[in-house]
Parts: sequence; structure tokens; C-alpha cells
Amino acid sequence: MTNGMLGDLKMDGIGTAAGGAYRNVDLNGVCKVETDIEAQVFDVNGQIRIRGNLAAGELDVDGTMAVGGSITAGKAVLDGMIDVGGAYAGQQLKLSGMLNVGGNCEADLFEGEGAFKIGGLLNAGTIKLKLQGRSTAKEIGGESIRIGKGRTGAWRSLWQWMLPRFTPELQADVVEGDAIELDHATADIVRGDRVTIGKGCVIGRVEYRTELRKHPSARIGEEARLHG
Amino acid sequence: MDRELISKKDLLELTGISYGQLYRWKRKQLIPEDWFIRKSTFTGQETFFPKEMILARIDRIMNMKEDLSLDELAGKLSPYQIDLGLSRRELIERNIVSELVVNRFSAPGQLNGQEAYSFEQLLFLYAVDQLLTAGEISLEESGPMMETLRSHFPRFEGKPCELVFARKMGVSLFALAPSPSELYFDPGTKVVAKLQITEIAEQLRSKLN
Repeated sequence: MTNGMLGDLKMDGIGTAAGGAYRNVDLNGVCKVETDIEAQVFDVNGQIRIRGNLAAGELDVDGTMAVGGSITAGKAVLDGMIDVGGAYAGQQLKLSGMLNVGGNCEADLFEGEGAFKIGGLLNAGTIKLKLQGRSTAKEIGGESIRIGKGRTGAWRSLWQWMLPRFTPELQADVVEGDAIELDHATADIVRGDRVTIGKGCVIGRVEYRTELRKHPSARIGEEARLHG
Repeated sequence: MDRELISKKDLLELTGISYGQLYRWKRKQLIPEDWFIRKSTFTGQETFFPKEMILARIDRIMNMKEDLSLDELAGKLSPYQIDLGLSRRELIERNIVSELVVNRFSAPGQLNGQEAYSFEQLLFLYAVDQLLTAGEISLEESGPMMETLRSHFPRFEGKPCELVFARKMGVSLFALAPSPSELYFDPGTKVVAKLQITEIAEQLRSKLN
């Protein structure tokens, strides 16, 4: 992506593009990309569908985007509903909305508010998320993992009552990290150095090294302190 | 292939690294994805690693990370990139590849000691040698095997792949497939050998060091 000869792609309204390598890609409206696309700056608004893989230095999505393949992005700001069939790999990922990833999701920093569904492993250096809906991942691993409930209000509770997928809770098989802080989470195993199990958690087994803090309302099946 | 495995918990205890470090290294591709072997145990899902390979790798990362950033390290560790410039004589003396294989598949310049071997060339020699000494292929079959590796291995661009050797009614064939892969043959075919090239590279590297 260091080639200075790359062109730009700009599309407004309804249209289809072939794909390829660009410097700037700017899509507004209902757009479709037929193959793999690569850009230094990828800025889209509206309803976007990409058949192939997406690689971008900077990625900014507002609206809905569906990618059939994988996403590789340096810095990403995702607002809206994002669907990825393959894997997501990036450095910084800021989310407000829903992120669905079929494979693994990797980032150095993953922060924001909303909900996610990750088919494989969510692997990030720092995870700082406030949930607004039901979120699932098969495994979560990283250095610092903080996943909790986002803000609530009267309207929220009404939504939750009508649609259970708006219930902000986390579900994962395994959560492993150095510092872990969870609330409203359901997990089989949580392993870490410093672990905080907050309100409303149901955890099958917790393994910790330095300390375990737990909220009185948390349900923990087994606790084990490891000496490492 | 049977190899000794180590669970993630034991590994962390043994090496003193943390979960965070392990996940970071995985993210930076210092530890290849296919070393993470998931198995269900009585406590639920556990991850295991091939013991010798992961211990050697962690040792290398720990030693090198003082002077290199993780991204630089990733380049150094990608399994097919080290050039040592070993000569033919050294190869045979250190018992890395048998003389027979060396003589058969070396360029003239390498035979008289003027040219050194690249890691990739060594890898091919080593792989052929492994199968030959295990008695799984014959000397004639080593030719097509070398050819398969030479012409198709570069296409994988360092991605993990495996060499499959099958035989049917006395006719042999070699295939190179991305790993992990699932291949199914008709009933008369016998898969004689499967070689994980990444694993072979790792073995070779530990022999060279």
C-alpha cells in the first residue's frame, strides 16, 4: 500500500464497483464491491456489501457493512452494524454498534459500546467494552479485559423486555487474560492474574494467581488459586 | 505423528509468562496458529501445544525481545527465513542430511563447496532425507518429491503446508496442500506419509542451532 500511483474510488448513490487497490475509497449510499478491495483510507456511509476481502489502513464505517471475506485494518472506527464472514485483524478498533465476525477477531485495542458476536477467538491487548446487547465469543484472550454493561434507561429496559437480544450480557466459553473485569457475564472458565467478577456473573470455574474480587451476587462454581 | 503436548496452564507455569503475553505473541504471529491444539478435558476445553517446539520458540522470543521489537521479531521467526550459509561438508559432518541425498540434489557449485545452501534448499533436502531414511519412499521417488517441493513450495509464501505422499497400485504421487487440510482418496489409495513442512522446518532449525 505504499504505491503513490494508486487512484481513488468515489461512489454516491446506488452502484457496484469491481474492487482493486486504491488510495482513498469513499462510498455513500447503497454500494456493492464485487471482489477484494484494498485502500489506504476507506470511508463508507450507508449500506455497503463487499464480496471479497477488505484491507484498509484507516477504516471508517457509518451504517451497515457486510464483508464476505476478512477485514484487515490498521485503525478502524465502526458505527453501525458490521458483518464479517471471515476474520478481523487490526490494531485499533473502536465500535459503536454491532460487530459480527465469523472467524477470529484480533486487535491491539478494542474499545467501544454495543454488542459483538465472534465465532472464534477474540484476541486483543486491551478490551474495553460497554455492552448494549447480548454478546458472544467462543474464547476471549488478552492482557487487559474489561467488559461490562453499558448505560441503561427506561426505554432500554422496555426494549430488553421485548427483545432479549438487547439484554447486555456476555457469553463465552473461556476468558483468559492478565487483568480481567467482567459483569453480567456467563462463562465456563475464567483464568487470569487479577480477576474481578462483577454483578450478575455466572462462571463455572475461576482460576487466578494474584487476587480474585467478586460481587456478592456473582455465582462461581469453583475457585482455584494458582501459584506461579 | 505422535508428539508430546503441553497444556497452556503448565506452559505458563513452566516459562513464567502470562496469558496476556501469550495472546500478544499469537497476535503478532510469533506463535503459529496451528500450534494451538484444542482438546476437551474433564475441566472443559483446554489448549495444548507441541511441547518441544513451543518451549524452543518461547526461549527464542525471550532471548531476542530485549533488542528487537515484537514486529521485527515476527520477521525473524517466520519459519523459513534464516540463512546460515552452510556448506556441503558441514551438512554431512553434522549429520543433518545424509551424503546420498546431498550428492543427489545439490547444484554443482554446492558440491564443490563454492556455494552455500539457502534455508529453503536445506529444508527440501532435509524433508527428502527424512522420508528416505524412514524407508517410506524409494530413491527414485525422491526425485519427483524434490521437484514437487521446488516448484510448488514457494507458492505458499511461508504459509503452513503439508506434503502428502500416496501410492496406488505401485504408482506413487506427491501433493503439497495447505495445512491443516483434509484430503480424501479413492479406496485403493494408500497415504504413505504426511509431512508438516512447518514442523520439519522447526526440527531442522533446532538441529542447526
